[in-house]
Amino acid sequence: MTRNKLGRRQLLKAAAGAAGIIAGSGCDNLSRSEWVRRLLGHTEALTERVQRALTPATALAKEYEERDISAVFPPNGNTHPGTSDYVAKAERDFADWQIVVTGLIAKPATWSLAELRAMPSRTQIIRHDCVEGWSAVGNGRACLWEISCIRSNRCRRPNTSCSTAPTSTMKAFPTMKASPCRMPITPRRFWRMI
Amino acid sequence: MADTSGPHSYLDSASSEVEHALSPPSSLDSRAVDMVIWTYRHTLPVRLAHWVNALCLIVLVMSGLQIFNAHPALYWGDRSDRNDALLSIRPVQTETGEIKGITTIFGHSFETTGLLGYSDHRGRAFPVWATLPGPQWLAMGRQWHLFFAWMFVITGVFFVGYGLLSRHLSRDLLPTTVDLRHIGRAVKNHLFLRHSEGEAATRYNVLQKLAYLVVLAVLAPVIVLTGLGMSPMIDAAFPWLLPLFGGRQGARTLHFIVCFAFVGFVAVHVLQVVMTGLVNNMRSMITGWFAVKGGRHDT
Repeated sequence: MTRNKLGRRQLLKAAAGAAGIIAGSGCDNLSRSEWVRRLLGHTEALTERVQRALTPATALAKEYEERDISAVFPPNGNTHPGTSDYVAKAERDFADWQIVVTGLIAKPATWSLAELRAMPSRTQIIRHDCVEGWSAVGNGRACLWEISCIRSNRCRRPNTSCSTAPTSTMKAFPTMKASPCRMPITPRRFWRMI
Repeated sequence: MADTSGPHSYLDSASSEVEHALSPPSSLDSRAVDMVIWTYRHTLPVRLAHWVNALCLIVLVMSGLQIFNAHPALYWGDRSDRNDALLSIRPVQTETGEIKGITTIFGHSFETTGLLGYSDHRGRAFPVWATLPGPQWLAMGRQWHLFFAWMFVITGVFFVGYGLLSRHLSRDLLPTTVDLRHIGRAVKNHLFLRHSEGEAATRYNVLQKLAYLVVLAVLAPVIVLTGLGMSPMIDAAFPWLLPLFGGRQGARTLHFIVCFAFVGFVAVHVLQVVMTGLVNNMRSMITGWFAVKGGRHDT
């Protein structure tokens, strides 16, 4: 019986300790520690790799009808970055704005907004799923960039970098996981500008 | 390694009634009432899976609530039209300037200040103590969530694989026809908080078996599939997945509901563990050994 009582006390102590670590700031401290971030970052890379392996290269996002378009399409983040660089570029109507596409592609290139506008494009009605959890269906014109890959069967999404995006929503690629070889660049505000 | 050939017993060293320990408990006479029979109840793989899974559930629920807080409303269908929310948890400022937490379910609003919508002088759906990380930090919440989602799935596959190979699932978790025939009595026993004793306590009762099977065969697959369905890439690769769950927002809503089914299961589970002998149950899930008092044999 004595042994049992001791066991119970120790168990309760251990349970309270564990609960304390979890409920308290333990995990928040872990979130700030370098090795946890690195470990979690590796897992994100693993998730991405597995998802790409499972996804056929021809898989495209579901397209919707005109009547499915959301009445309100919320901005993701902000619609005006508020930097002096952005303001300066906006004043010149983004005439000197450029997008750079590099990475595992045959012909790395840089395009201006005028050049993008001259490209073949089509309108798509697709759903945007925000990391926050909401979904909105929107309509936009997308440039279809035909990007030939170095390795035809195992192509990857090319790297895109912009000197200054037309808006910060540039980061928010809608839900289309297009074929990695045939990636539509479709940030919502970006379409409108083209 | 763990023995999988079925429960075996040995006598507590304090007792000298060797012959009684070897015979079925139903044949124990009155002198054997105080006798303790040790049963090897949980094999090592089951114990490992149990504790890894327990950790996964805690982190997944808390980081999931962190993610939910970024957009604290639920919908059905593909779109999240703000006016069509099934549930929303928001801070609302009253005319006097006071901020209240308001939870709205199917158009009915409730004040939930202090717990939901507004807590610790902050407008947030779930309070700091319920989320991981504590402060609003969506990106980190997602990273924790996906890491432990992998752990949860790997543990689940390991457990089911082991359960099939060792026949733990068919032998210990699948209800027998006798079990099912006596389900009414089991319900009554639970309602009156009567617990199995003696040899019957070494096995799972029929409601326990059904609860574990529902978690294993319904809740776990649904929470994994609705979680995967929320990934745009998986969604593009398997377009049939989301329609099963009422669209992108439907999947998110089901993910949330099943999460709370898990929370409910864990709450009842922990309550039962405490009520049927905390130390004995904890010992058996840590070391494998479960002590049964000889005596009344529950058929």
